[in-house]
Amino acid sequence: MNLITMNAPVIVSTTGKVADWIADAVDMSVLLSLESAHADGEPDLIVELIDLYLEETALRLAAMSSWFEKSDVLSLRREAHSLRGSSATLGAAGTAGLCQAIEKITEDDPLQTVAGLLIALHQEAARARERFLVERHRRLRPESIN
Amino acid sequence: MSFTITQKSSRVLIADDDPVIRLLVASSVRKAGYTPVETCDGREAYRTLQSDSDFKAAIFDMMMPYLEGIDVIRYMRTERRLMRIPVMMITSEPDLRVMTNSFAAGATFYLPKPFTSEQLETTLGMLFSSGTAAR
Repeated sequence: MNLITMNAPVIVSTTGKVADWIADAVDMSVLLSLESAHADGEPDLIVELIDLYLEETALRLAAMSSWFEKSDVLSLRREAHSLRGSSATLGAAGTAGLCQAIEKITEDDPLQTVAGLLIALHQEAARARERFLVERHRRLRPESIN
Repeated sequence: MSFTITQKSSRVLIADDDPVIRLLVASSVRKAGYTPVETCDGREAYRTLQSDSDFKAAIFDMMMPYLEGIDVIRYMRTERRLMRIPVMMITSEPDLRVMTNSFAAGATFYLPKPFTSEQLETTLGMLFSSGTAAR
């Protein structure tokens, strides 16, 4: 099954504004609560977490598409499991929820059922990515955001 | 055979294949005044422990490539020089059997994902103050 179109997010917003589209993709209270783990003298932990998360998520999504096309359910489930943990910890609950759904459905359902969830996951991860990038930009250039 | 155990190490072994969680845990460990030693999977942690036992504590993810966290704990509990090291297990697996199995294998603390930094700090505090954990 070809999932070549899965990387193209579908932007859905009743107002057509990106800010509305991404508003609830990440629970910012969860993300910002992680600031308390910041050690003195170290770079901005939230920016570092965002950068690592976005990098890892892109790799994991690509890997999941690849495992799907190879019908490798175990590897697909493992990637979903890994992405769920970091997504939930950083407040991307929608992404985490879709990962959990993929983990569960691959326990006994055929791969065809997973296709829709994978597409939804790519779209939700794209929403979360935009929200993370807004926060990253705000932290690096706080004067540019009102 | 005499066996000397040093209790003054400030190093904490971390094993997690997820760099996001690894960064977060390492930052909390550093903030608590300890030195994180990071490994990216169970096999690397195992190899580290084969030649190095100078750790105040260890923090393992449950599900890792090559060797799972619980397998590393089982190895540690068979080695006298590693037995004293308290281990915290992190997992996003909600199954209670996983928690039970972790404790049965020798884990000292268990932290389910997702966790807040407060929960992490609290559990780290208990881990670091747990002292010797000879089992």
